[in-house]
Amino acid sequence: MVLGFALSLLGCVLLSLSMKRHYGQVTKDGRLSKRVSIVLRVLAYLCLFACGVVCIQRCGVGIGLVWWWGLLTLTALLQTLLLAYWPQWLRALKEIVY
Amino acid sequence: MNGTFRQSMNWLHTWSGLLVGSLLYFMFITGSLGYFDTEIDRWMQPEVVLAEGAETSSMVLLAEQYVAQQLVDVESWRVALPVGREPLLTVSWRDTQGVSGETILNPHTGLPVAVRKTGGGQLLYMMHWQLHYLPNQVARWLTSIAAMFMLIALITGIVVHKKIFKDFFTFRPNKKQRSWLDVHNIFSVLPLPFHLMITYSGLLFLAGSTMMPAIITGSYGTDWQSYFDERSTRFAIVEPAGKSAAPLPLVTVINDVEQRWGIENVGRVIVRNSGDINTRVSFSRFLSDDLKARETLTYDGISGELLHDSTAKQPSLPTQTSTVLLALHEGLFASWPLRWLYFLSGILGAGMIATGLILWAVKRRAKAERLGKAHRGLVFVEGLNAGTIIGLPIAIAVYFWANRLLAINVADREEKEVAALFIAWAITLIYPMFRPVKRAWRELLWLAAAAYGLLPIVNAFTTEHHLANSLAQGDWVMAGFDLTALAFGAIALRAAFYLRAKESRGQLKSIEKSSIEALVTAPTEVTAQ
Repeated sequence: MVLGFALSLLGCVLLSLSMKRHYGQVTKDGRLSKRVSIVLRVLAYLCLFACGVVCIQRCGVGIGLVWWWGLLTLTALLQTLLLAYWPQWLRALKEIVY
Repeated sequence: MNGTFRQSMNWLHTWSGLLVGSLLYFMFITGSLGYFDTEIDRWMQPEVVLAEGAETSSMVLLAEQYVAQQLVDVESWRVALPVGREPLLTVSWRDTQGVSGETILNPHTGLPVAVRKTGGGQLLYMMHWQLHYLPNQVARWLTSIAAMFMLIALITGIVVHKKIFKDFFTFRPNKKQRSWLDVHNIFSVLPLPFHLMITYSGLLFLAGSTMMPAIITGSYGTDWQSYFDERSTRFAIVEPAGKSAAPLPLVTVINDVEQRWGIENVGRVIVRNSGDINTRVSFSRFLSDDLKARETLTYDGISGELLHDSTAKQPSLPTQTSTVLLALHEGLFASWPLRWLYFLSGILGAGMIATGLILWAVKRRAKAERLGKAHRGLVFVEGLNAGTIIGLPIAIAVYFWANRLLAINVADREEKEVAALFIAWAITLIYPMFRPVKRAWRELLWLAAAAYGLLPIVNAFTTEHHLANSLAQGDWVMAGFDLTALAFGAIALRAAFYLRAKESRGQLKSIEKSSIEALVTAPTEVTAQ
């Protein structure tokens, strides 16, 4: 489930970065090209979907779905807090990636 | 209610939310605590001896021995075994005169354990639809109406919210009304699957016996008892024949259960019509690997013959649907991390209702400031909000305090604990009506911080399960309770400090404003002279 959590959080980070408002919050220079946005979004949905696959594989369909939605709620909440209060952490993450 | 579709939905959302907001908040808070009902039970009965290392079958036999040696004229009795989260070995019974009783046994010796009387977490959990002091049917009506309004508020809320995806991660702090709306949206949208599931399933359980009786009556007529029997685990149960017979020792039946299921998952053993030729013995287990109902084996208690196996036949589709919904609502299958996610979602639900109520008041307060006078209804709702949103958590802390501070042998102990809860809540509801509302919020937050922050200290003084001890022993249920109380206390303290800082900033601003005005006006006065 740690893997599920990581995938879901990564998905939320990428999804928020594919939005103009949050991309600007994190990068400061704030220009988000259409192409980058689409790439980020596709990657984000892949991560979120993969999280669901992991949950269902571990716990079966019924409980797996409960886990999936629970994790999505938790990580989306975390990402919202990160964006509002600690955007510099996400900036640091970006520097590691590039 | 004129205007566009969205405007009318907005109207419906606002007023359906306000009407039952406080009741819904109560249901969400006590219901969320229900996800930790047995853990709270354990904290509230610190005398309990843990069952580690005790064999299931030997515990059943100890219970059987207790019933045979200590009780007379027992009509039916039940053993609840410590499996999964359940830590206790409990025997309860009813005798032929209809008098019932219950005792907790030491799982190793079979001797009764003296524990304090308490409603525990079970009572907190059951409050979320029984509302405690009200007659059962009245409470069901009230809660089902509230659930109906919750469902309306959720659906109209989705319609009203124009930018669900665009605002998904959006929170803009320190922007007054805008910030409240952001938080309300976050608390509503992120756990939306949970909110819809919990409201819809809750409504279904309640509405069957209140708003939509035709559903049951359609199939069962006036014989509702047989409906409830079928919904519970009463299979192959008959009336006593009135002829006594020597019951088979349970050990023979246990051997058969052992071969079919293995005994270690069995959580309940129920003996009905004890000593009659129609004695029935049932064993139930609950497996947490899927969204399933309890499974039950029912035996003839005289011949030992297996009469009914609830796993033998696939249940009907409506039964399966209702089983899945009930399983999702109660989350009995959830392991502890998933249980925390459930708890978080429930608390977010309470937060959604709280921020909705606050938003109602904040909007109207802004307008009242412009007009220079506040409507009496606004002042009332502002007071009610503080007394509900902070008052209820304080009252629940008082319930825990009462559990530790009331004398162990005081009469009606469990009722006095509950009385402490509701008296505390009544006081916190009345208090903000007589205070400037901003100050009432802050003072109630200080009180909440003290009520939760000091709870582990009260625990340390009144039991031997203080935090250092329970951490050292790896007793995570006890330690988890204390740590959670500390966390709640810290959150309340943080909020109180925040409000104080905000207020002094506000005062500073108005001082600055007036001194600037003085500076601006002073020279003109001088020149005028």
